[in-house]
Amino acid sequence: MKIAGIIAVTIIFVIVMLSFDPSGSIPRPIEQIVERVNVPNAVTSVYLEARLYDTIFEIIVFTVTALGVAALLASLPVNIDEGQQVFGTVTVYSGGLAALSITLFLYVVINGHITPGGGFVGGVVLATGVITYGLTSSFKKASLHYDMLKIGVFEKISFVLIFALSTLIILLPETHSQLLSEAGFGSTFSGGFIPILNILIGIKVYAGAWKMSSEFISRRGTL
Amino acid sequence: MTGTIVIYFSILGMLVGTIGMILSKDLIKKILSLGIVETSINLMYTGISARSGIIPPIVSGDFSSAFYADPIPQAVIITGIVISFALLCLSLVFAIIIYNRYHTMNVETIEMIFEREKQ
Repeated sequence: MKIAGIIAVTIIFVIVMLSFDPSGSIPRPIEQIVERVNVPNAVTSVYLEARLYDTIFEIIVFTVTALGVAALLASLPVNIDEGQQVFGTVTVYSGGLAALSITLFLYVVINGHITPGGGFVGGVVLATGVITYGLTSSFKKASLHYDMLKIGVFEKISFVLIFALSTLIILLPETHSQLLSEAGFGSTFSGGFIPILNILIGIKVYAGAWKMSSEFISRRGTL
Repeated sequence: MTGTIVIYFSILGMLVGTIGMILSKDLIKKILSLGIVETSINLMYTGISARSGIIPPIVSGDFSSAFYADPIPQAVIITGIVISFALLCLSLVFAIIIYNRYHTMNVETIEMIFEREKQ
């Protein structure tokens, strides 16, 4: 049975490989995209302007996953590990790495429409820095900030705001394109609602990624 | 040229991951094989976008002469990366729940215990 499956899969992939035509016509849509959206980063202008529906549903999937992970893991017991094993050098460096990741998060998120980056990348950068700090220095200290800064509330507010702004962009495309064309090409305050959406998506992705990872770590225990 | 080679290698990676998913009996190994397939798909989209050029699609000034990469597959795969992260998280949660209930990761043993419980 398994061998038949493997043979079938191999035949399908060989057919895909043979039917792929590398000399087909290559579209070059970058000129139209950049002229329409007036933002240097063409990838950002695609996923936050031309294909905004994709991004909205992606954020819904991400939110549902974060909820699902938290709800499914809630029935399992929390592993209370008092003595976290730490190494001196790593502790010193992970604090600096967390501070650096906050700076990088702000840079990547605010300049997402000019330089490489954007909301998703920024959120993952910040989450990686904070999770590394929690795993190597003090998980208790790292998980304290989620309640102290009320990240959960910010996550919900940014989820609602992303929906509101996206609906505005989809319902009033002329107004948004006018807003886009008025600002100077390549300045920080250009891009209409796109930088604001990037900041909100950054907060949302950070909160979701930290929530999921901390649920896993608190069940499994640290190093 | 670079894009074509990358696309062929990514299809090979998808084949390897799919065969791994069929052959391995361990749940974690199955999830890892799924990760290989997802990474290969990301690589394939990157290869498709590199067919029109390999300069990153961030325009500075004149953009008529340079060969920029196609931005649309890259924007699509940003969605794909987040979805694959979500899929990985949820499947790991289900693996944890299955392990807590059956105390094994072997699919055949799990099926055997499940059949015995049903009778």
